[in-house]
Amino acid sequence: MSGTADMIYLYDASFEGFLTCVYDCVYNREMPVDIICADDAQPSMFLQKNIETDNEKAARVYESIPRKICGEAAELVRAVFLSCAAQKEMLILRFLLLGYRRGAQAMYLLSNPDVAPMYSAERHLKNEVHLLLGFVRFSDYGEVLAAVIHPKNFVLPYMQTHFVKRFMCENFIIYDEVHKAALVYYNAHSEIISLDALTLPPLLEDEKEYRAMWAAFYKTIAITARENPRCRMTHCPKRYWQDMLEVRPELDKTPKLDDGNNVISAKTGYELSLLAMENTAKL
Amino acid sequence: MEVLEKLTILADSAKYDVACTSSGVDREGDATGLGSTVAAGICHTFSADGRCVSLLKVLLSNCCVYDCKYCVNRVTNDVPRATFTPRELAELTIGFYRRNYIEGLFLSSAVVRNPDYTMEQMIKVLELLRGEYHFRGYIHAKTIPGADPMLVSRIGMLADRLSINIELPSEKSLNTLAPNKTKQAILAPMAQVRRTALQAKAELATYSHAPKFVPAGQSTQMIIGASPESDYHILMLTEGLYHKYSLKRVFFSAYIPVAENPLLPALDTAPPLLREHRLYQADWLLRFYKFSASEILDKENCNFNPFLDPKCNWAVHNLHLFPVDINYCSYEMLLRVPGIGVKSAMRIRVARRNGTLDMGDLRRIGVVLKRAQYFIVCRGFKPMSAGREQTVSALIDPAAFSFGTRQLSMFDTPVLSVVKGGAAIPEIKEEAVRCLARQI
Repeated sequence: MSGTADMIYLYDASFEGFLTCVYDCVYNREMPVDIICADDAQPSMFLQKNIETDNEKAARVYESIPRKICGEAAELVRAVFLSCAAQKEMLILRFLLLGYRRGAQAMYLLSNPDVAPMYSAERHLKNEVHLLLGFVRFSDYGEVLAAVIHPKNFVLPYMQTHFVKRFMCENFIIYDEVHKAALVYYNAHSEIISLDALTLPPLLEDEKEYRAMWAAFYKTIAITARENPRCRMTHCPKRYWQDMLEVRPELDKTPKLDDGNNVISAKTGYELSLLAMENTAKL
Repeated sequence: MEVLEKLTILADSAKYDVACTSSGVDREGDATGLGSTVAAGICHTFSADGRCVSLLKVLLSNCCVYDCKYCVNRVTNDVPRATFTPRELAELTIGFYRRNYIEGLFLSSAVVRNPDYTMEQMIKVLELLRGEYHFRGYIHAKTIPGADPMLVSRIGMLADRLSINIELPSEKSLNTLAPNKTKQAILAPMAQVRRTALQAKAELATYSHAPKFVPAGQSTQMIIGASPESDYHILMLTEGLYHKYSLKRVFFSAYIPVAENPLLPALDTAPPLLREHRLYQADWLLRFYKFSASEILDKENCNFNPFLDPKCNWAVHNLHLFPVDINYCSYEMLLRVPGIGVKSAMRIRVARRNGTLDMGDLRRIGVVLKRAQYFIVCRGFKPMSAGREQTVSALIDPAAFSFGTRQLSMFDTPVLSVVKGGAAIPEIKEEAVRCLARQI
């Protein structure tokens, strides 16, 4: 790399857009000071360069990773891009530049300042995925199971296989309200779609009963003589509580109101399932 | 009786069972059924006492004919009684599982009529789940001591994990506190499960469709603090169980007084939580850190040090082995450095192949240096020649103090009786340091 250019790359927040940035950086021999999403751009002293997403360039960069570094590096890059690490674009860029020089060895330089943050970002994502595999709470709306989550990282792609395999004979939606995306599984076909809001139909009687039983079970299973709120919070951080029906009452939070344009609002479970079907059919 | 009411009664009776793990077996879901299992296990929630809830932990029935002194469900105790029908319990499990509340079912039962009848009822539930509902999630079942071996092998085909509680750490205590149970009745099925599981594994190597028997292994549990055994005794027993019966886990349960009996600790005794914590720490050393029980405790020091965790305690008693050079020492030695866990040790092992490491490198890898710094050498770093006293003072476990006065009955050392008097904690800590340094 010839040196730092006083320049900020702007891209469209897509993975392909980011890979195009990597391409431009390498072929223009310039190192941007930052790569940011065009929507988050603010006026600054640095020159801002808009990078047009080019699928061909992106494909070339993506294909180069397993060839020049290794297959796991491509996995790692994908995971870090979906994580919530600060300046993740620059992290990945620096890692890739190191990888192009050092090859597969880059994956084992665990203490390298360009590699260590990659692994910790990946761990943050994977840890959240692991927790959410347990903390997701579905509600049965008749034809379809639905759940809402509020994760920090974009976890849905990593939850897909687990839930699809587990509930192969069911239909379900997991809605990520933070990233406005949903994992939809309908008629043995699963897809991640973007969705601005999801309004759920009223609860069925049966569902209410199961919720009551679960809440009662949760309350009963705790041993009073061993109460340990600090320990519980360590294992189950409070930011997940809003979506977990057994601990939500302890949070005492006002419900959020939905607004947005791309809204699924269903009156019944049947409607919800129809909408899910439409969405998967479109893809 | 409503299912909700039954659930409350039977979950309440089952809550003193410690194990709630869903680990040890990977089974993918398929298009014919519901559910899958993950080898690492998944926690679905954490109860107010901080314990993981991953299985629906209930008794099939709490109408017990036995009279074990330490147990809430003993026949002479006046508590509400309930029994699930197999159908009710199967439906409840499926309902919870579909909503992702649980990872599976943990089924135990009080002894109804006799051990054989009880096991038959439990098998009925599992057969419903595995058969009619095509349930592929996790099932942990309890074996009832004294049940027919045929029933044990039947239930082992349906469950992922079996457990037989050894209840108390010695035969003598068992005879006094659980007169209806015998050592033989507990150990015989344990040996049988081990034998059958080994056999099934051998068959599986030959025929890929051979039926699996208890693929996630077996576990057991014992009550700590209801009987007078020393920590050394318990730890040796634990190690023996791992070796002899190939157990996956041994669980410890701090005794919570639920019954008044001259043979048991008084009702106002607090559960020995710190002791239980130390036992688990030692258990981890046995299973993941390649320690043997005789290294952790011995006949002279037959109880855990309340102020130092077992690994620190071992290290300060073996200071001649330290400091170790992070860049050159063996993996086994890395594991023995206080503060370095399995993950850190593995990362160090990978990273040091690509160049020598310094303190900054260790930090970036994610090694916690708070305790480790007193025991390691790396590029550009040597531990300060801190006196023994300083080292010990830096290592003292704050948990020993935050557990507060609950712990007192366990360790009759003068230091702790000061805690009872309500003296300021820093002073006690100082005194503890002096004591420990002398002792070492």
